[in-house]
Amino acid sequence: MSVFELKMPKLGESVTEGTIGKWLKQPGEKVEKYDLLVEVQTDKVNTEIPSPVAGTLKDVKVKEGDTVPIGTLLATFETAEAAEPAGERASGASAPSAQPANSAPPAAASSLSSSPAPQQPASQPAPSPQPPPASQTAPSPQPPPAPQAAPAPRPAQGSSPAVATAPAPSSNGDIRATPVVRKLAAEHGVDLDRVSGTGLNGRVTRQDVEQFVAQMQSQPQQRPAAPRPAAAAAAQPAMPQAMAGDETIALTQMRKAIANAMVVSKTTIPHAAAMMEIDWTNVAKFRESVRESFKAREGYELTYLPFAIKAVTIALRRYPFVNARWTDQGILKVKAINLGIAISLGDDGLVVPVIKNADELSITGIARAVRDLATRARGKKLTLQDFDGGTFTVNNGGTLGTYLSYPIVNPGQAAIMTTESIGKRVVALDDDTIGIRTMGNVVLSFDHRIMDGATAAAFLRDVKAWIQGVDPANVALS
Amino acid sequence: MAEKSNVQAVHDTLRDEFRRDDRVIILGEDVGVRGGVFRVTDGFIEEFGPDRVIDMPLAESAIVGVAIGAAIAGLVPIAEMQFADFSAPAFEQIVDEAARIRYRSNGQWNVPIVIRMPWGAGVHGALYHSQSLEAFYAHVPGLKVVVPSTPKDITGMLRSAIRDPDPVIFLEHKATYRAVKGDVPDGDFTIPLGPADVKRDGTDITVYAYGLMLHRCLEAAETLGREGISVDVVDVRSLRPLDSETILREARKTGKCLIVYEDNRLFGAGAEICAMIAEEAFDSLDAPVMRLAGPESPATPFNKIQEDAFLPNADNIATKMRELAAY
Repeated sequence: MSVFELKMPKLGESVTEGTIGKWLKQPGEKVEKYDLLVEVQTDKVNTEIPSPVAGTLKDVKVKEGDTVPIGTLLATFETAEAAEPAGERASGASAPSAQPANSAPPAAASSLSSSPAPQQPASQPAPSPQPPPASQTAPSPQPPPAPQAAPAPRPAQGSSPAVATAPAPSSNGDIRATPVVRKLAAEHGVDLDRVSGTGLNGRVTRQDVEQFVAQMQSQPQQRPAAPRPAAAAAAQPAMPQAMAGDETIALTQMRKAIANAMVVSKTTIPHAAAMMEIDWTNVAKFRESVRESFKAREGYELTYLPFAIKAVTIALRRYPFVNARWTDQGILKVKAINLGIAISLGDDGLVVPVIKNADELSITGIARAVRDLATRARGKKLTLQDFDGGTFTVNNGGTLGTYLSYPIVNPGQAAIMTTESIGKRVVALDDDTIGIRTMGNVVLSFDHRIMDGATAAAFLRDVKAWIQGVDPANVALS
Repeated sequence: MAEKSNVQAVHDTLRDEFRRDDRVIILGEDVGVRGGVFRVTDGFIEEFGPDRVIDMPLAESAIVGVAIGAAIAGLVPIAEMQFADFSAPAFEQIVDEAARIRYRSNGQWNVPIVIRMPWGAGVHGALYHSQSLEAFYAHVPGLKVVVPSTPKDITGMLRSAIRDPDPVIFLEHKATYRAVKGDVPDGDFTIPLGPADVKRDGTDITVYAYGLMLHRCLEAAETLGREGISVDVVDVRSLRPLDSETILREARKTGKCLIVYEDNRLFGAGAEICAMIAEEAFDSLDAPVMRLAGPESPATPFNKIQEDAFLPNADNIATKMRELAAY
């Protein structure tokens, strides 16, 4: 008999933690390999973890509803197999890896006492009345937010703040640390999970570590000796007391991820916006002319959105700075055009799955892709791969009737465009007559570090020109 | 201080050495009456006479073989390969004889010759006038292989090569002969055969190059400088000996290294530099060591469009530099 330790697997790019849903097996139960063990919710998807081994579930270490970082011990098993080093066993091909991802090296904690290093010792009382569960054996509870990370308002209650800190868009769960980065991190006791990477695919570069260390050393309040709770309280605006009847809603993973991404974006990206009014009459006429045949063939209505997306993909090719990313080394012009499509899930939040290589799709292909993503989003069937690699985002707020909105750029991208409500309006026409046209606005929010207003306007001008140029007599759907 | 082109620097340095030491002779095809196909020995036969400026038959093995014998007999011969490409027939003399005589004779004999070779592509020279052969010779212990690329370096290193007691392969990139100009200090200065030279100081990435590629890298580094990326450019002007101290120091400085060379990428000199960095500076690396080099083609094409595509240029070097900087 030997003991197998199941750790929180890494469930995808930029996923750093998960919330335990329901345990599908109870301690004492026999488990076959690949039996579903436990439900896990992440900020993007919900999934079930299959057992990597056959044996008996011995101990459940994290209770339902708790949020823990990847690598946290979830459960132990007794197995009949010969002992292998716990946690290093490869799981089955179809099972998520049970290996701990690169999280805080435990050794790093030992260097804290002697240097003004950034990390807070695990034993430091958290400012929350709710201490971390005693049984939690994470290598190191996530420390408080890094200075360059979002200073997200901390929920008064809810999940333990000790684990709710990593900014989703820049996390480095799947760290590929170069030799010099490893060496520097070890020398300074830096947990690489906490450093925002500016390198390729978010890699933490040597410069990132050096800047992180410099920042930490210049911020005395981050030293373990400082009276943190008081300092933290002073830094936040006074909040009115909750009144009788008020209700605190614990943050879901998705809500936290959205909050983190928005704070990162709003605090690091200098936003600017431009709006343009577009005459959709030609598109409307075209939609009308193919309404029946499209619906008969595809099984759903053709909306305006695929036209907006098509126009965007064409304009992005002409204005590569709109399909770009800010890095410390310079502006990274991204070759692929992968469009994030914002899909509202109502009170549950918002997801932004990605149409990969959207520029290769026809109008019908785009319509199918949007339909597929929206259907799976509402059915909670999106996979983590659906979220990877977005280079620009399109948000279709207009279906709810908005006329002007001011979207926030997705961190890691250069811009986001909304399509506002489209409807008939009275318009003065070029020939000095008054006509009824189908009009709607588009708004582009952009990272002003990467481009200036002229580029944004030129981009919108091309989007507009393409949409207005749709010729009902001569447009290819496929 | 005088401004000279690379080819002028070769000419003037040879002439000065001929005047300084009458043991210095030159042997080669058309070096005499014609004054050299690149005009390197223009006026030599008139000033120094046919005993010291010797027109040789089209037999490179004889040019080097005679030079070896003359060297052992006490002269200081310079053997000119009209084009590096033509040195293949002399390979046996260079590698089996010149490089080994000191070893074979237990130090009793040595071969103070300089074998000059105009090399490299970029002059529309096609298959027989474009090759990069440095890796063949840099592989051989017993030879020194140097590749200076500026008038000053050529002047100082050619003096050192002529005064060196052992065989030196002296590579002159023919596309830089007239394209590259620079100041040469007055006086009889020398530059030792070995040390690399940081031609541009930078902090973000380190780029190693020599020959024509050095100048293209410097051009690309200017472009990146305007984009806010600071590029360190190391002139690896000596391949054997290879200056590990400078190469590793500059690698550790930025942690991101790129080697650019026009020879075929596989088994080229850049592979050796790459391996040295990977072995000795591993702990300081912040990116894989990258290489940009010529394609796997049997030869440099004649067609201009193809020749341009064959050689790394400032544009694709800049692209590679950005890739490394962004890593």
